[in-house]
Amino acid sequence: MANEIVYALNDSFAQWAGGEAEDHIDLGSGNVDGEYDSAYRFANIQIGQGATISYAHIKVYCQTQSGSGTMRTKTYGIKETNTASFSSNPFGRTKTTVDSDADFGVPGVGNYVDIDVGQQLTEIVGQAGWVSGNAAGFFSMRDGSDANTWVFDWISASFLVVRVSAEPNFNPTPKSISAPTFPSATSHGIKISKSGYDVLDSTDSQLLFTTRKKIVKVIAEGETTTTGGVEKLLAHGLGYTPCVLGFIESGGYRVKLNRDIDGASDPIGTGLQGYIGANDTNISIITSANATVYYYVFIEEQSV
Amino acid sequence: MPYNYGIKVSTPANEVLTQADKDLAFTTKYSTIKILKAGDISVTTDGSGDGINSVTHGLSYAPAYLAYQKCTASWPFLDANTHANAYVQDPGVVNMWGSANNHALHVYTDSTKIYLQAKGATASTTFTIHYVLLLDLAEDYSGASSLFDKNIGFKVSKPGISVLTAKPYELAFTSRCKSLQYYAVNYKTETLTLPSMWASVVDPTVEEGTYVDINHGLGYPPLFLAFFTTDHSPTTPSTLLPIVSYNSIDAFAYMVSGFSDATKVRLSFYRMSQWWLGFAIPNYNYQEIITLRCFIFTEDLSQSF
Repeated sequence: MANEIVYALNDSFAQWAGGEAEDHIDLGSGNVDGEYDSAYRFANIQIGQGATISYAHIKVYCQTQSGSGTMRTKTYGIKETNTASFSSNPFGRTKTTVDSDADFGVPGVGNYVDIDVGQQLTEIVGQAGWVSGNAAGFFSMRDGSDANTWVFDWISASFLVVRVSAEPNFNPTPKSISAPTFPSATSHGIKISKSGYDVLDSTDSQLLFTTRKKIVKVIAEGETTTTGGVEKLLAHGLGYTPCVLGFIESGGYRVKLNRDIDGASDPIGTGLQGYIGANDTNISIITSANATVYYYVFIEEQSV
Repeated sequence: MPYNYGIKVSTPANEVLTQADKDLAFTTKYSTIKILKAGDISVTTDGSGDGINSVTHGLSYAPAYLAYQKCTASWPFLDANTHANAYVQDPGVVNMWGSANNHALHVYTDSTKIYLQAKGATASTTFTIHYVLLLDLAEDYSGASSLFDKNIGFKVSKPGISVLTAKPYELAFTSRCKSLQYYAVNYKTETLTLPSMWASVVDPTVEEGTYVDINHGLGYPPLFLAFFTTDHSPTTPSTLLPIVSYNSIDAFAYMVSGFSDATKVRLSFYRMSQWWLGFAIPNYNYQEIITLRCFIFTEDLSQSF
């Protein structure tokens, strides 16, 4: 359900004391060069004018790196409505009012440095001349990185991730099934009421037994052993999916299935878990370790 | 060729001699599920959230049972409302309708008692479960049991066993126990659909959930059992609820569960995707439809027996 859009790096440019290079992203501080500034350009940004950005992060790819100190950058947007390519040094262009500080250690090769540019992008697309589909740019400026600590991306593998609106959790409209119409109570057939209740006036829940309702009928029951992680199949011979019930032995006690103890303390055993189900051919029991299970198969069908 | 002996009762307007066994209201051909007793067990936790209480059953074997946490059901993610006097199925399994405490309440039986044990629940709090204790076995057993040593009422023994000497667990039916019986409509089926989801670096935790209310019109919270299948794994058996599965960071990521109260049985379907170590775990990038099958019984979970 995630609705973010990823924009590949379209152009980049780096500068340092006494040098510059196109198609470079250099962050941190080089052994000889000193601290770096980098510029990024992302094209065809699909955001309407005036949108508030929920999330925008530049993911700077670590192609090569060095050092173990901290890199410190201050990142601005380029305050233009459609940033042009970096055919020449772009660092003289106007910066956004807002900026963000990012301090980070040296990532492993193949990993990414994360720079939050959400507010900068909001300021860029908030300009009167911004049109969806235009290009946006950013500067990461030197901000006191530790010496000999740097990350380079010279293969343009960095990217921008943008999400305009927050991703909602999804809750479909719940369903509701109307109560069925029950047949009126009658005094025929066999009824046995609980002690203290008049059999003629008893409600269904006050009866021990009534032929007005279908009784649960057990077509098979028994004990079986299972091997942990292996589905135990027992043929029931009914040709349809029956209702089933099971009880697993744990620590000398019996516990109704399903049992899923994961994440909680098991007071009677070592976290034995198990599930029971059925299909048209078999009942299915699966347990997390070798176990003993007592099962019931009811003759009543699960499906309509 | 089948023989018509014993007792058979067909459902209304059906011929008793030809109605299929599974559709009969009653037959002595098969054993029934027999409720020995039903009631509440409460436990008050200590400062560590632990506690235990039990009820003696007198059967000499570990009996089968069903259990529900008695509480106000609430899960703000799916429903801003709370549901008082609800019965959340199967304490001991994560079921968010019963809060995280449902996971910390454990019910089990042995040859003498049925137990409620809290382990790591909220401290200094009283928890209550409603149990339905069955005469039927939860373990292989062939020994003695002195319960029901008098021949009174109406009883049917299992095939090959004298009704006069049958042990309690050898009875197919007895009027000394309450029968577990389906309500007039013995089941409902419904599907719930969740669209594709996939956590990402931008949305590190994405949750989805929905539910169906099966209004039963009974005026009391009924005992229920439910099963589900998923179209994503068509070979998966129709599995008993509740079910929950976990991801690698031990946060539940998939849960089908429910509860009942005086108006409805609610069944819910929830799943979550999380961004972890550069991957969506689990990466639910598929739409999923589950089919729920619900059995509602006449048993009133608010009543003791």
